[in-house]
Amino acid sequence: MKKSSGVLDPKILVRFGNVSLVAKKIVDGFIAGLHRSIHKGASIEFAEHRQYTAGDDPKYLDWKVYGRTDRLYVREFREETNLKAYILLDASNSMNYSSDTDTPTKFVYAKCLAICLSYIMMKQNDSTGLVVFDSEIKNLVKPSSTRQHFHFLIENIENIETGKDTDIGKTIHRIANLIKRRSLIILISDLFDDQGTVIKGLAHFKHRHHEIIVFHLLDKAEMEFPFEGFRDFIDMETNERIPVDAKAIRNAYKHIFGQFLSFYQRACSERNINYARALTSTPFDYFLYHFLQLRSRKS
Amino acid sequence: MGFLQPLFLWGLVGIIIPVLIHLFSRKKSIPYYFSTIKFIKLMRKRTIRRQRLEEILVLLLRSVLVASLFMAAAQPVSKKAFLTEKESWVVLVLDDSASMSAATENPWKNLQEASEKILATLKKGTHVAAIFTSGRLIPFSTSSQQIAKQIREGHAGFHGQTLQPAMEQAFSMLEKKIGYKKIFLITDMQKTAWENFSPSGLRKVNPDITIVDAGEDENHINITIKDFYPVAGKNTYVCEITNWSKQEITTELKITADRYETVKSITIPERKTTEIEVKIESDCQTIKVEIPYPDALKADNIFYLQKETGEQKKVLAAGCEGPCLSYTKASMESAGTISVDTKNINELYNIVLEKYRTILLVNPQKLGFELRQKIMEYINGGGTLVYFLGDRVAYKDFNSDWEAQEVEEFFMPAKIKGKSEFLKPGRVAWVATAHPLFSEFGERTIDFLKTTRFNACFSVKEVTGDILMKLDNGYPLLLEKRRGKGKIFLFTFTPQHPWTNFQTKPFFPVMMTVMVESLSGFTYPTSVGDPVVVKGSENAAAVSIINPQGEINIITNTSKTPVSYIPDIPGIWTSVFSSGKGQQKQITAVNIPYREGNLSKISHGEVRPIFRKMHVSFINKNRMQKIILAEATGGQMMAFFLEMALAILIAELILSNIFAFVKERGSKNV
Repeated sequence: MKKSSGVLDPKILVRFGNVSLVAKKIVDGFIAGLHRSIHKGASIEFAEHRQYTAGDDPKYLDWKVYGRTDRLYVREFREETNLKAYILLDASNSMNYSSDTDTPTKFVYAKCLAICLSYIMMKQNDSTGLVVFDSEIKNLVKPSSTRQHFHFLIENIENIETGKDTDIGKTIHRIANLIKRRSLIILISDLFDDQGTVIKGLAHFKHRHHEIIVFHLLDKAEMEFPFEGFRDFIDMETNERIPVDAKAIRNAYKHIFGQFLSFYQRACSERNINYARALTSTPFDYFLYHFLQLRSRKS
Repeated sequence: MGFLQPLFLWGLVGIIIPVLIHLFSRKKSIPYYFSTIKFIKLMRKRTIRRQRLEEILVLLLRSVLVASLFMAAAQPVSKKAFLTEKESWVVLVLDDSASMSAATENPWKNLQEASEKILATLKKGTHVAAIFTSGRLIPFSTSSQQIAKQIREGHAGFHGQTLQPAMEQAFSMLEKKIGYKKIFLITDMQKTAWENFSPSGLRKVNPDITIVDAGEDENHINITIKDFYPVAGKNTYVCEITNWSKQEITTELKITADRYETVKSITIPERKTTEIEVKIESDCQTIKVEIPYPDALKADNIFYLQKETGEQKKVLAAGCEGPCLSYTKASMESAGTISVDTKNINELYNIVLEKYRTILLVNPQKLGFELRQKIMEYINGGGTLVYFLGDRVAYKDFNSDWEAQEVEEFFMPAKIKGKSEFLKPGRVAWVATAHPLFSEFGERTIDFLKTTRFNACFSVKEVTGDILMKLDNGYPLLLEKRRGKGKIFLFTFTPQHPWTNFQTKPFFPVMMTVMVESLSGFTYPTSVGDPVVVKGSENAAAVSIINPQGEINIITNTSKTPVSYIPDIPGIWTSVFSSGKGQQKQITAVNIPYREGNLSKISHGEVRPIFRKMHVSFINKNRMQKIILAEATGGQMMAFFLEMALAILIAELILSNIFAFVKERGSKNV
């Protein structure tokens, strides 16, 4: 994999503004596929032979094999395009944070990521849907694999604004109830909510046999807490203020934040949920490449 | 507990300063929008608690720091803390020498102030005595107020600083006392007083010694008339003036000789002694020399000189009994103005030489060490020695005796080699006719001496004096040398047959008389505090001692003569001997000791070794009050507060570092 080109750098995204264009550029560069279908049936790509059983469609019988072996076998093909994917995009106010002007906000990064993923899906003929939420579901686009749908999706994503505070756990439960068919759920969020509720929500999806990918978006400053002196920290969601000597609490903060991260990592791993942490300062292509590589190895 | 400076207690109001700073300088925080504060909230309670603790601790430390400084400045006194022993004996040794009356900063006033403060801080019942260096003594008393009163009424004298006897007296007073023993020596730290200072009895008593420096700094302007003495001709005098200051001084020199007055303008370079020659065209009894300059010490700007008023000039003759001594004695007494006391050499040990104008040593045997010392002191102090060499003088002894004691230069005018006997009698070929000894005869001197024969004389070597007479064969006959304030005349022969026939010539008695009369016409003045011995007529019924201020002290018991008294102020002192035949007056000029004029101070580092391992502390004049207080309160109270302030400063420094370290690490337990 080539290293991040200039265009794919998040800094460029900040300057460039057009998220979908950047996403297209990213995906065109390297895409190979986000997933393999677990459904086998008639399609282009041959998968294997299977002994004929009663009820099988006789059109899939392989007569050449019957001629050679005097046994009935049917041909099976790998199906590639019948996946439904939902991108769950956290549009809470905390996502609007960026520690410096050269780094995109988490929300911009999330939108870019969402478009990249939609583009990949479209390329694979998968149906992609979108759920935008904060403390409630703000927007729901049902999945489809058509090109018009893709453009509609992109337009939707580009026009989303951040809203109120988050309630991920509750919203996930509601979304889980809405999605009946087995799908791929992609959650893009900073997960700044009650950890237990969030995990319970994700478990709900798992319970309904959905495959889940969690993109945990974070700003570098949230992890490293590089602030100095006395600061009056104002919560972007609640507007609550808290004056504190930043230097004095830095290490303790990092410690607690580390616990927060490791909780998600462990909880996801235990529940067979794909968990990927992305820093907004990491180039998109670099992040996506590594994520997809890891995923393909697992599959 | 009391306070010497209670006004400083108002400073305790200053405690509110750190509180106000604490209240008004709360750290302003910068607002910052952050994605979530839920993690900060988790730890904030502990952090706030720690920050508050830190602030309160710093506030507390600063308040105590301010309080400690003002408490120290208020100078707390705890009388209980001083002298915990049941019996305490304190001796104040007070320097009341002339230098203590230096005008610019008034050391005497400092001394009085220091004494009062010391006495005020003493525990009730402490035995206190005071010894003045002039010799005055206030015996042990438990009434420190009484002693303070006496010190308050006292004044600095004019005598020299006599620290050693005063300290020794203090040691002897404390020697048999049981309990706590303490000596406060209050002095101006004049350097000259500490030269050869080695008091005995220190070890036996082992007291605590505190030396209070009441003297002024050394940036004063001061000049001293070191000496005033006649030279060469009858009417010429030399005034030696020392400028101790660091700057050149131009002033006037006012000379009053009885009714005759003259003023001379003088310039004395800094830190130098200048000799000013003065001619006084008047026969006078007393001379007063004065520099009317407004300098630090006035008393040393005046010098008195008096002409000897006794009817007869006293000469002491000693040596080998024989014709030589009798010729010389007869020669001197021939004019009737000189009386000669003849003594055996051994008798000289017990005689006060200073009362004689001239000492005549004729062919003496070997002199002992002590006698030589005594003679040297006499000459240095202004006496005249006339020394005739003779058969009894061994040249080796002469050369070694007078050399051993003089490091820089041989004491006599020349060393001698041995007796030289001439085949052909020598004749006087050269005489220093300008010398006052021969000035009465002038150019005719050699004519007078033409008939004189010299068959033998001592040859000399390493001549350091002046040759006044010389033979035609080159041998010097008479040499002169000035030592200190006095003179030595060394004759290389004995005036008797077969050495010479000089004694038979009329020139000889004249020369001897002139030698005594004209060269030492003035008695060297004495110093304040030194005993003055006056001898009048044996049958005097009473002696009146009149001091320069006209106060009369009559001594009726004159069975013991000579009469002695100790002058306590400078000026002309008069002794009047009253008898049935009438009155006989003698005057004595008294000056303050020359060394008193030098106000140079000794450093603490130089004084400390004198007391070796003794506990000696010093109190500087500028910090007198504080340190006397520290001394008087056992060095505890003020030092305690100052140390506390220092400890707080250090504590705050350490704490701020610890806080910084904790912040840096960010405790995981937060």
